Amino acid sequence: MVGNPNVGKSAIFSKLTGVTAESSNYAGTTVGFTSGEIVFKDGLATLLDVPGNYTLTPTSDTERVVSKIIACGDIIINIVDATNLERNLYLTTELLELGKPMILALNMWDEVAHQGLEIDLPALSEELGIAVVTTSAMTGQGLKELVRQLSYAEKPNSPKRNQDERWAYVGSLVAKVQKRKQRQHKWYERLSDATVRPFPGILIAFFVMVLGFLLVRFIGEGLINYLFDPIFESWWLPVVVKLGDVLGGSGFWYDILIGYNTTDGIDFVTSFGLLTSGLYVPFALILPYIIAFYILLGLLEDSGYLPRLAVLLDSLMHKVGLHGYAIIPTFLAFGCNVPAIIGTRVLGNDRARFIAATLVAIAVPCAGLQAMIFGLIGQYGFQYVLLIYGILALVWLVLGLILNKVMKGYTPELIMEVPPYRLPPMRLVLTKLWRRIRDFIKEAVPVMVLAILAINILISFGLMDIIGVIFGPIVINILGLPPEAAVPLILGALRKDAALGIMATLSLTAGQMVVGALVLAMIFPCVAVFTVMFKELGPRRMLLSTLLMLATAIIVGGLVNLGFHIFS
Amino acid sequence: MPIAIKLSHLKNGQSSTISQILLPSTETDRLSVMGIYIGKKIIKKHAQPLGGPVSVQMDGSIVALSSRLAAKIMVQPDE
Repeated sequence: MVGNPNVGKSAIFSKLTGVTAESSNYAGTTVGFTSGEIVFKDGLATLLDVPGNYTLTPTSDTERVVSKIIACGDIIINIVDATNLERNLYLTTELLELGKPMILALNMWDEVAHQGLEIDLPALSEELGIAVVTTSAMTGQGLKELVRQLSYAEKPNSPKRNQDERWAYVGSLVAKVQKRKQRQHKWYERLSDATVRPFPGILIAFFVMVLGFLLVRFIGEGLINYLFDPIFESWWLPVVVKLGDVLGGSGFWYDILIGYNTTDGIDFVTSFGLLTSGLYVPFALILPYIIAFYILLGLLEDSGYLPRLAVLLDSLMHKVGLHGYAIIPTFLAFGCNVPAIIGTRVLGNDRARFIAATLVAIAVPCAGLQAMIFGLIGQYGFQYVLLIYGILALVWLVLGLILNKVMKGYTPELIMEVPPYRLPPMRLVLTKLWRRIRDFIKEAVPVMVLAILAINILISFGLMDIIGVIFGPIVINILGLPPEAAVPLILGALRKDAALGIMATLSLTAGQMVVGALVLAMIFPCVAVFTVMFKELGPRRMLLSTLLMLATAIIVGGLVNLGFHIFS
Repeated sequence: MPIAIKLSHLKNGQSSTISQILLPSTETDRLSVMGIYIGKKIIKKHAQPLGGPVSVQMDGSIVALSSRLAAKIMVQPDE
């Protein structure tokens, strides 16, 4: 399955194979390829979802992958955006010259009439010499026919052309098969214009950010206060109290299951037992915010707002050695840093990838950590939450300016398609949200529970004190934290959200919690991010990036600690 | 025949035809696959301040490109 970026390949792929391929409303969601099985001629065939590309002549890392994959395919399904034939058919002419059996799918067919377009399908099919089917990935229309037509895919017989000849051919072809009617501009087209123009675009961007922040708080706190908290308090607490009595109120098993920190009664956040904090922290404290963050992120991704933000912020991004497109992986990182760092592949050169990945790993907290920041530090007052975001934004900017100054090389220039706004169907939005929540429960929660178990065992054997003695001097003198705080800072390598939970058990002041959260966010990435940085940047650059993280965390943590001392 | 001017100097909302692209082939290739090539009709939509990107419209799509690239694309404004 081959086609331009953002024409709906991954959405069609997911519908045909049942294998979920990530999709959004901007170019470059798929950077590796995904494969799945479909029924074909009474048997099974492997369907490959190829990253979106504009040409077979490679201009970026992603496009180099494409040619290799196409070479091993037997039948090409060329997916094109029916509302944008001219640009899409350039790749089609290149594909035709390969002489492989091929069919053309005109996707977004339901949009064609809306946009005042008329396309003569029989003429298009005859001109290209291959079957043409109309599809809509959103509604599923035409997908059965697409699979049926695969059995009859014909080898095209196309002359070889150079670049200019191809454009000339596409131009004359489109003139022949497509009519464009004059029509009224729709409200979303006017909105599209307003959000990408400097004024009121910047104002709208600011408004969107504030609204996003409020939305996350509203959904997150709402779920906690009206759903998860009542469940834990009125259903689970009595069970845990009973069990605590049975275990005798102290001893090894009591400490592991109920918690070592229960002198003032059982507290679901700070007791730190497997059955108290081990369940409450992932499910009642983090999950509600994970849901809230991913609702916001899904809206930003699927509506098509992010590419507009990329255009508005391009000038700013150039100051830190990136171009506007880097805003997209940066935003993804607020969910999880792993896909964000893979997503930097589209940035063009290694220098930009290094800068983007390093800035993300240092200054963009993932959804789990943000949930803990909202939930735990929000209790001290919401101004502290804003302070953390403000400082991280400043670190992102200053470190970016420095990296751009000292690193040799150039910043690639921006060329980016701005997709139209789309209202994705509710079902699609909910499926994506559900998949992300399921991944969190399947992958993050077990690690978190294990981390809490490991900590409990370490505490019972007194190992925490040893870590405190070794790292104490840095933690006490520079960061102004108690020596035990070294433990969560180190355990951050496993799960940062769980680590901040441990930090909260140390009865710190608001200022100390802010320093702790900041250092935890910056100091080094969790294991998953480490692994992906190693793969994407290589060992040398990953090491360099890590040293930068350590230095930044200690310097910024020290300065913020100093700031709290001066102003209090 | 009107004189060719830089795309970046074109007025917002003005339509034009690309007459020349003063860039090495690695850059013209990237532009051309997005539909920006000599002879193509494009409308300049708007430019971001402080040397930010220029948005142009061709047929059904809107493309944003950096002002440095836009300054190397010569266009003839339509009458």
